[in-house]
Amino acid sequence: MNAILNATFVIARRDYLATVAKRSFLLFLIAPIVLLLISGGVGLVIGISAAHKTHPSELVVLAAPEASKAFVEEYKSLRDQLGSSDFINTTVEAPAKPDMDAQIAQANKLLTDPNRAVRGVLAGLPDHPELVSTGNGIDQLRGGVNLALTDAGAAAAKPVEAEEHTIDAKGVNVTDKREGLALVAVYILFFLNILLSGMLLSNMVEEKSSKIIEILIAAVPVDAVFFAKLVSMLAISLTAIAVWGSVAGAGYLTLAHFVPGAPPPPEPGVGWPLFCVLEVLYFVMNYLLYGSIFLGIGAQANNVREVQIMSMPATILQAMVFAVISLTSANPHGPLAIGAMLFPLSSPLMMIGAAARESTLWPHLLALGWQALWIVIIVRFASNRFRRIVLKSGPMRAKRV
Amino acid sequence: MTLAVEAHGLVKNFGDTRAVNGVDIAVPEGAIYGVLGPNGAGKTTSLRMMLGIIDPDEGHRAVFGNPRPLEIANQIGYLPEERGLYNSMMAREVIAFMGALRGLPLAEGRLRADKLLEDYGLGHATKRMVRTLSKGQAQTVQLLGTLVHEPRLIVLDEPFSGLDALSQGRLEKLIRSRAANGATILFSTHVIAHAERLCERIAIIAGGKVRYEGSVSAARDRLPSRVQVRTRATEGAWQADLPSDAVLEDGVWHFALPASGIEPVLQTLITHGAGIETLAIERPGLHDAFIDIAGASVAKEMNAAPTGELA
Repeated sequence: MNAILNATFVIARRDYLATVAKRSFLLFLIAPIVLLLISGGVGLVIGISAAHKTHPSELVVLAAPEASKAFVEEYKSLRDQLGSSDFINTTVEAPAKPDMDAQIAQANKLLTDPNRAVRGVLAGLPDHPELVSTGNGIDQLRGGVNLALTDAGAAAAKPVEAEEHTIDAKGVNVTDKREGLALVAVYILFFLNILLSGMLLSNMVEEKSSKIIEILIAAVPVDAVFFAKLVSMLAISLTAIAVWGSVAGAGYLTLAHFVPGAPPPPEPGVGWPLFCVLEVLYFVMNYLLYGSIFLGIGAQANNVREVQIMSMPATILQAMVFAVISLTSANPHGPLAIGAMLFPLSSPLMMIGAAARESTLWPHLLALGWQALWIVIIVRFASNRFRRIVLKSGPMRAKRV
Repeated sequence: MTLAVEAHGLVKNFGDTRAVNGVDIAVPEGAIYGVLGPNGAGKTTSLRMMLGIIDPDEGHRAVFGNPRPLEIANQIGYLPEERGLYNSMMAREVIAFMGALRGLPLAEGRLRADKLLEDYGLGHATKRMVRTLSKGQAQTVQLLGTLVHEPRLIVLDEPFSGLDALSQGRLEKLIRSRAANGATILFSTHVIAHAERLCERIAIIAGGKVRYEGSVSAARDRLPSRVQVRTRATEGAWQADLPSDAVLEDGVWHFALPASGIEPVLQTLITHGAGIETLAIERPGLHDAFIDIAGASVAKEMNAAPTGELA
């Protein structure tokens, strides 16, 4: 067993080094980055210019004029004295209803009103002030508002902290935001898989056409050769993802630095650290599932043209799976969604969506085990087909002579 | 006799075609063993079954007593008939890689590769990419990759194919030296001369069946030696006393050595004054034995098959 594992590692290592050392791999790595940089650069310019042009600059005070008078005067006075950009114009509006929930709803409406540039809403004056804005908006306004509140209520012994209701710039609630995150995570997984798993198709054809395969299968069982190919291509893909991910992360941080109003990413159900781990794990599973199918197809094809023809059904299957997953977003707990979670080829995409939406962890352990089982089944099936169809190898009755 | 490779009743069908039909082979440990036969006889399929690359439809095989040869792949070196190497690897790296596949650490493999290439006159090619090597050099690199882990059993499928005469001579020398160091050599060929020069034992395969399995010497002994006599006299009463199969061709009498030996024939010729000008007694070669065993038509196929030698 050790000898087989060792040989598997040797094959995987050679494939990995041979691929990453090629100039074409460098181009493969750089091309999406260049596209990303160009689009990021354009986005940055547009973002900065938009930030300068339409930066929301209005603080709405939801209160009766007499209730808000002291605060507004103090706030204006502080703005005149300090001149900081954290002090913005104030507008006083009467609350539609006196209860706090209604005032928060009114605040959400004001914040998403496309005809106004509302940065934040201060409600609940004078006794229970609450500052409603995006996360960044609250960061920007909190100091000035609290200072003015303290000054306005000078009789009070301690400063009045505004309660914070964080909403995003579009007034979308947390559940909707997580749904959006789930979709983004699924898209990323799907497109990375489409982009990277195709490499496996041509790999076996090249090995067959260069006659190397005979040397490999004379030293190592076919299953192990298949597994080595999968592992090496997975390592290559993870290398590419690490590079692209780092560039994308750096790009996002740069963008966030230059565009202060950029919304922060929503918190996934399982939390960011675990979500990142699961995204990688589900990518690995998705890649191995489709990769083993593609590898099996590539092993039976004799040339690239045959590969293209034979891989068509697998590509259509991928598209169908993606279409089904898109349909399940409307009802992520419905029978179609549960079926898609159980179907091995859609399970990784469904489960990363679930990780974005929900905090429960045990289904992920089950799903990862289930997907791993199917990877083994598909690899065994593909290597058996290779043995039967390509090598034309029959059953072996292991009897000692 | 300890056996390195044994096969009993191996059968392999490809669709409706029976490629191998009950092959029995026993290769003693330490022997140089040749599998002889024309192209398409089933040699490669038999070797692949013996090595565990493919499984037989029927029959059993074992290498060093193990019915699953892949489990002891580290003790085996295999040069396939269809040569292939990674073109973008250096010669030494390819050899080290092939050794690593069979358990040799890469660092050790590189050291051995350098030495093997040097010994084989390819020291200058150590760091050259395979794609820049000539066909013969690339074949040599693959052969060295087969040997780098110093296997107990070396299986070579048509190893002389594609080599020039000089390289063939080198390969013969290498095979002898490996055998002298205790390795078992099993190789297939359709060139009888190679088997005759190298092998102690052979199997002759034709039509998917083993027609003969045994020592080269025993194969040759199946036929009587041939006698060629040139006499001064062209006619005489002595002619009647020559063996019944004697034929006169270009003034030379040809006949099989009688069971009673050559002496009675010589006595007759001397007594009747035929005058012996030349006398030659020739032991039959493996080629003659092959014709006797497999038939003239198979031998013709062997001769017609390309030897792969570079002109």
